[in-house]
Amino acid sequence: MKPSLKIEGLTKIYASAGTGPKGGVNDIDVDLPAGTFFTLLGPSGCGKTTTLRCLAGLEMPDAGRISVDGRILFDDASHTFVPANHRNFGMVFQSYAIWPHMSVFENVAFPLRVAKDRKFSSTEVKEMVERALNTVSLSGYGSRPATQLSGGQQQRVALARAIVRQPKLLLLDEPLSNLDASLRDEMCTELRRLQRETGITTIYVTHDQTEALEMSDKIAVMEAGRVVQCASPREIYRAPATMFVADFVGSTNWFEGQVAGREGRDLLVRVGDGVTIACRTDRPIADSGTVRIAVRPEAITVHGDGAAINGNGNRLAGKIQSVGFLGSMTRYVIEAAAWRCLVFEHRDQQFAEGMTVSLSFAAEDALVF
Amino acid sequence: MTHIQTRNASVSAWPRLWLGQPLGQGNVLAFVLVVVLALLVLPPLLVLLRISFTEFHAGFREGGFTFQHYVGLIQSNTLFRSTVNSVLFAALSTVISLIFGGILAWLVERTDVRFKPLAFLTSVVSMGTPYILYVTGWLFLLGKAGPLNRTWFELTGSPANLFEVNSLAGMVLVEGFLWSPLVFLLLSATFRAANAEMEEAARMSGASVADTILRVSFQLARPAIVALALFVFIRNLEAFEVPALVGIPGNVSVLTTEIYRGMKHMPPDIGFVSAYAMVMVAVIAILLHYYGKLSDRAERFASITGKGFRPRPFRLGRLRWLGGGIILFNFFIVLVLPLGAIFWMSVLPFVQPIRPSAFRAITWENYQRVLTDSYYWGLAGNTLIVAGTVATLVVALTFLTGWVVARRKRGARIIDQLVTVPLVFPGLVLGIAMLQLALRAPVPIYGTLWIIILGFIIRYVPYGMRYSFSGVLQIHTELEQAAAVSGANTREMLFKVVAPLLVPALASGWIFVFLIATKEMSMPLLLAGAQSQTIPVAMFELWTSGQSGEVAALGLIWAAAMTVLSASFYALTRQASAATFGK
Ligand SMILES: Nc1ncnc2c1ncn2[C@@H]1O[C@H](COP(=O)(O)OP(=O)(O)O)[C@@H](O)[C@H]1O
Ligand SMILES: [Mg+2]
Repeated sequence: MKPSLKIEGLTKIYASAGTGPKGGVNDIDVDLPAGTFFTLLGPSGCGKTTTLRCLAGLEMPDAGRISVDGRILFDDASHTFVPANHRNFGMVFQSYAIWPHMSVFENVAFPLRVAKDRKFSSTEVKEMVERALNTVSLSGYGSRPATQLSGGQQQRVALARAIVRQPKLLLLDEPLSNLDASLRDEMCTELRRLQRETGITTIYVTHDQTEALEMSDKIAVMEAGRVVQCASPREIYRAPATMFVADFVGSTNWFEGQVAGREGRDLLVRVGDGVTIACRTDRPIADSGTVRIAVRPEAITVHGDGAAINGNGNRLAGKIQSVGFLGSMTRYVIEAAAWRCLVFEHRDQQFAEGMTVSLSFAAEDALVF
Repeated sequence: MTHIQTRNASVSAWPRLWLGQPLGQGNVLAFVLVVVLALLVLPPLLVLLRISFTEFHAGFREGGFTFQHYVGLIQSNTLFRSTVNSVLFAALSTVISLIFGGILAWLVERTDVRFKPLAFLTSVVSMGTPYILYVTGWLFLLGKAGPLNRTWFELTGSPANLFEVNSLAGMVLVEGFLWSPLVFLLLSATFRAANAEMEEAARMSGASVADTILRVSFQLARPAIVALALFVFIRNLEAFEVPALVGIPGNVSVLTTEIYRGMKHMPPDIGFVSAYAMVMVAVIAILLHYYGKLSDRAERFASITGKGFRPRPFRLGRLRWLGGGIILFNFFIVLVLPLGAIFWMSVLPFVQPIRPSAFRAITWENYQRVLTDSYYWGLAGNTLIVAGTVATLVVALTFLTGWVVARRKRGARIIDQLVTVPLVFPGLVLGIAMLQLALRAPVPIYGTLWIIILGFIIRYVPYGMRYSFSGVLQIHTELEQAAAVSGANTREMLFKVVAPLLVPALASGWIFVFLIATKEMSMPLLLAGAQSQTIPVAMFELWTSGQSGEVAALGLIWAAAMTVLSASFYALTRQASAATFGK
């Protein structure tokens, strides 16, 4: 498929006026097919909003190149900069930015009223606004003053305003962060449905990894102004490219140890006295030195002391430090070879605090960094 | 002279939940506050009302009830003319200061214009400078000896002035410039608090810069601008300095100068003057009512527009230099030119046009006299005592009233209404009322500083309230509840928890009240005795008796000292808003 959005080497550095580190983004590369739901994920301050605002044309990047459907929107080499109002993108702001001096209808109709490329007749405007309000399940709310909307409704109006003109790109900056938990789940599903229906390429910014994993076709994880991994949610979770990604997306148990050698495709790492973990890895890693190993909690199985374990994965002895009953599962904190492990068990098996247990997990589930 | 809101509408709508409040103390506090406020704000109103309906024999002896003063007012040929003049004067100067100050505020807060610090410098200096000093500066600049008419004379040789300053147009111009720094300060707060995402959403919707400004930025600020316009209009109706210094010599009379003329008449026709004053008070009360509605609306808008988002300035591009030009223009018109003119006057024995021959006459004698004469030191002492006492007492009183009203305690509603009563008085009218009270008082306070202090306290209670009320709103109620749960009673909670947290707000309020108390001339003008003159009053009398050099020297020294204070006020409020808006 023809690439829809292409970002190359996008850089925007804020020279900080006072003390403290400089902020901004550095050398961002993204290439998206049309219709993708793409998420920028990262901790607060990592540059997600800056990237989004550069895309929107609200910020002048220092370097790089942005094009949509082959049309160049920004290119520092040729001094091209298309202003925000000529890009035809829809955007939902974190504060929603619903204008209080207009009704719901007028808020949504605004992009049509100020359109310069073509004039919309009043029946067209009415039709398109109705359709947009319908899409966000707000039909019938048109005459409401914008001052009388709940947070969730404001968000829907913002969304309707963003899609009314059928934009090439829909930009969403942490749209769910101001909603309470139950509304957030509902809007999450709603947003995804809306994106599927309209097929608009969507750039979604969030610091919430569950939102990102659930909604996206593709995720770019950002750290300190750089994209550290850009892949599908599954890949991000299963094969995090860096320790930062492994830590930031999902929870992870960390072990540290010395490389002790190789055994077939597995790297053997000594993480304690007489305790070795086998890790399946294709990465070229030196046969000596210190490495860190990440194991997802759900990859680990807990066994009673002395129970027979089949298969030939890793086995560690451990001691239960705390037990937390969560209803559908149980959370154990286990000390194994001087490392603290978090494990979730779905089975009804019960271990008490202080019990000695065995942990097992496959070599494929042990990631080396 | 800040934005005053009436908050009555919201007060009663809330149930009064007093969790863990010792009821007794709350009731005593409310009772004491209501009594104190009523004793402060009601007597001036009542005394004027009574006098305006009282017959006087031989000018002094009080007789029975009469309508004659109001009848006389309607029949007098001055009422209509001065009302028309007043409205024209107030409306036109409002327009000037709003356009001027508004454009400036928008440029400084929302764009990447050059010379921003100059705009703030201008308003900080003007906050500390007595109005009368500015007015004399402009009178010189636009007057017969000033550079404008002088150049015209040199060019044409015609004895007629190019611009006659002692006219309605001159009054409008001077008053408009006088108010523009304050409009600038108030509107820049509005623009600073505005959510930049509102404008960016318009840009993303495809709106051009012009569309964005017209359809979004301006519309969002409009309720605040309209409310501010009405506020400035009211203040201009009440204005006395400009009408007295600019208008009276040109025979342009407005309501306040008519009232002043009536007081200066010998013997003063106090019944007629009181009737005049009551009419003004009634008109202002009506306007204030509408102002309250408008500013409530502006508040509602502001709460939706939200805050806490770093505003991103518009890029002006090539227009950046035009914007910078406007700021420079303001800097020269409002600061450099009038103060320069005053400096020129202060180094000459008598007013002369700026020409080579005058440079030979330059002398520091005026400064010497001002700095060595004990009369001037006495004036400074009086002014500082008055302003310091007034600011302290107003802040102390409004700390309590602000808390009661903000927390909707018992008595909040009536206290809130009593606090807004003094806003209906023009300074001059309050002066007349205080004068009448002093003449009837059982203790001899007529002609002392105390009557001036009392008048100022009444006049500035609404301003102090503004600071403490919004200060209390910033404090989370749970901090107070935590004190109550820890076993503190109301008094301990107020003085050990609320007061320390309120210090920045109260300090801003203190400096603000202090500054306006040192600047205001119209209220103490009629009250000051020979030993109780304040600096603005003395400047007025010196100016009207032709001692312009000493007025200028005194004013400049005084303005320099007050500028230090107003700079600290500015720093304090910036800091407070930085904490709120995270700038
Ligand atoms: N206008 C600005 N001026 C200076 N620094 C900024 C500005 N905007 C963002 N930054 C800095 O750039 C970095 C990235 O910010 P941002 O993109 O807002 O992060 P995120 O949206 O991921 O939380 C931060 O360190 C922030 O402080
Ligand atoms: Mg952000």
